[in-house]
Amino acid sequence: MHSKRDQSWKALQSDTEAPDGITTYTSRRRRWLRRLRLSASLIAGLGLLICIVIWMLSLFLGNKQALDALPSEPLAVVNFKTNGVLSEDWLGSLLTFPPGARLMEVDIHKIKDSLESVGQVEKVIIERELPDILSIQIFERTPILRLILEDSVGTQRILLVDAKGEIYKGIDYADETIAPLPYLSPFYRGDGSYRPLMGMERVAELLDLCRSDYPEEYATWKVVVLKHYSGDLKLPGEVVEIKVTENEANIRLIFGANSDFSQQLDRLRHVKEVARGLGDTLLQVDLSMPNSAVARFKSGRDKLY
Amino acid sequence: MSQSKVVAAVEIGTSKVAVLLGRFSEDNKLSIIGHSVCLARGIKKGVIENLPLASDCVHAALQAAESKASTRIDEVYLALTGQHLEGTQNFGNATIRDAKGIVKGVDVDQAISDAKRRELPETRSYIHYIRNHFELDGIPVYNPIERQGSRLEVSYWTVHADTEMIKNYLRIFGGYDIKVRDIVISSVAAASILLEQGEKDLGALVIDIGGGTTDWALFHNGYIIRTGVIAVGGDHITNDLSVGLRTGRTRAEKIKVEHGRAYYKSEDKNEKVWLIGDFTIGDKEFPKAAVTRIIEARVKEIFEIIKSELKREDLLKSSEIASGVVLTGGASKLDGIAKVAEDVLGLEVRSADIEAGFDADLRKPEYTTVIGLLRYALTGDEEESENKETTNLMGGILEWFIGGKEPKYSTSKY
Repeated sequence: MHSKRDQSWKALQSDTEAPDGITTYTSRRRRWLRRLRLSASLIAGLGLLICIVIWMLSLFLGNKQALDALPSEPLAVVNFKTNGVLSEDWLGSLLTFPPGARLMEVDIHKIKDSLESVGQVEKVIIERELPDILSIQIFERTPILRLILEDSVGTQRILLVDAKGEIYKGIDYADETIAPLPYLSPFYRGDGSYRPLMGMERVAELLDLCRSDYPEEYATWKVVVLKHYSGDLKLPGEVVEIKVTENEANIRLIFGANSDFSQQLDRLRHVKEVARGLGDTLLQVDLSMPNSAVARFKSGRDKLY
Repeated sequence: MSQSKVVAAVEIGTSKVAVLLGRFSEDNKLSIIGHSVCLARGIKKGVIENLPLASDCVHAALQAAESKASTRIDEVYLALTGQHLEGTQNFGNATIRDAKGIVKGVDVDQAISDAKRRELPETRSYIHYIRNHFELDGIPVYNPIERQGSRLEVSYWTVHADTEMIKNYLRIFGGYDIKVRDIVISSVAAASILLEQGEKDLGALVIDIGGGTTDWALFHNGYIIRTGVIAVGGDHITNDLSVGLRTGRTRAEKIKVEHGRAYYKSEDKNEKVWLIGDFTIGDKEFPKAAVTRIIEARVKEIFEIIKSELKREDLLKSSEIASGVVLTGGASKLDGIAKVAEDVLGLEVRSADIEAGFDADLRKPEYTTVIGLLRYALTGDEEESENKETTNLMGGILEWFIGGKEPKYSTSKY
């Protein structure tokens, strides 16, 4: 006796039970036609594939031949342009061309990759100008802050930060460019890495505004502290702290990252004028509260403006 | 159905092999995209006697239908007939386990598995499990779940067939690289297109008189409660005429179609029927009475057999077959057959009327089974996709015949 499940007629059609089919001329013809159709489809598919490969190959070879046919001559001039400070010497230290190399033989993709691997370089455009000029245009990062990194043996090195939060080693910058930049502290990220810094665009706005509209004030800004700034402007209470050295006094300025910086700087100017009028020295000015500023003086008084 | 699909229905009868290809569109509309009919060979009384010959004509019919529809069939629904088909009624019961006597799914499962416990000999294979009503403490109920009682009973009408016979059918389709998706007995397939749900509820008897067999199915309260096959059909009438009139089968068939009537009238004594009708050598005339008396005897016999089978089980009650009898199949076209059926069975009888929407040449009684099978294919598939655990034959049949009234139980498999 077989089990109940096996009593259904469907069990007779299962792989193990299925009886041999009876073939006839019609069924053999159908099977043959099916195989023929399948083979024809396979052959057609294969043929199509081969055609595509040949077409792509001819396209590639055609392009190569077209390139080879261009009036390319040995490289004579490398035209170097930059929006920053990098020099031709620096470029020469990175790039070497074999003597007599023809313009079309220069691997511009490799050069581009090599140049863009330098931290200070944000973007590179390389063009061949026939018959013998290679044009290299570099877009550099602009530093807004500097920071000091110290390794395990205590060796210090200065790195720069741009408005996008990228940290890089500065090359060919003049001292006058770097010296006025405030330092950045701290510069770590929550995940343990330190680049790129989050939300630096907003910090850059504050620094740019201060440098352009309040240059005397900017000259006193020594350190930008991001201890209470995650870079996420959707979070409440995000503040950027500036340490200022003025008349040998250290003042702590607190800017609300979500508020208008222009208004906050105006209020700062007002507070400073009041302080001067009082003949007192400021210790801290909190500008992060809406429409007001809280000043703490050396004399011990706190005042709301 | 989410998209249109092509289904194939095949009826292998004693006199013909019919293949119908239909496409069900997204809005459940059925359109016939190809059909073919071949004279059956190697089959007698629904039983395959010569497998190569039968395969030959089935394959030819399949090939013709594929060619007309410009498509390829991978699986078919098969209408099955033949005297090897048998039905038995199985009962199952369960004592309600819940302390408060509330019927749960597990009680229903218990009753169903009890009803299905009967094992068949290896020479037999189940074709259909058709569930009938439940009874809770002796009271018929449609859905017993959450009702209160102490004992649940269920009955099943099961149809089984000769295993070797089924294998022969599978070998025919296997040879054409086609799988049989479902097998449906002919009477059930025919009823699926002939009866409305209301007729099934009131009770109806469908009689499909084919060439070699006559299939019947009895509905009561929306369920199929009995099915049967008798090995007498239209070919036997032809044969009787051939012997009785001492002529060949082809001429006997011609006389049956052109001059046949299912009952004898006194005026037939004076009416003459020509054998060939063109006065050529061998042409001769017979009294029409000879023709009609021969036919009447055989037709009466068919209905008498059905009557005796129904009476034996006390099922022939006009009050319980209120929708009457529907006659279909090629032989049901015989003039006056409905009258004979009425006289013998004592029930109201009508001839099959296939709904509009099919080609005129398909809207004939001889195609009822294959059209019904195609319709069944749609409903059966839907049921299967709704409940993968359902035995699809059973699910499909019930879904169709009780018009979607089959209750859903959380753990039931039937």
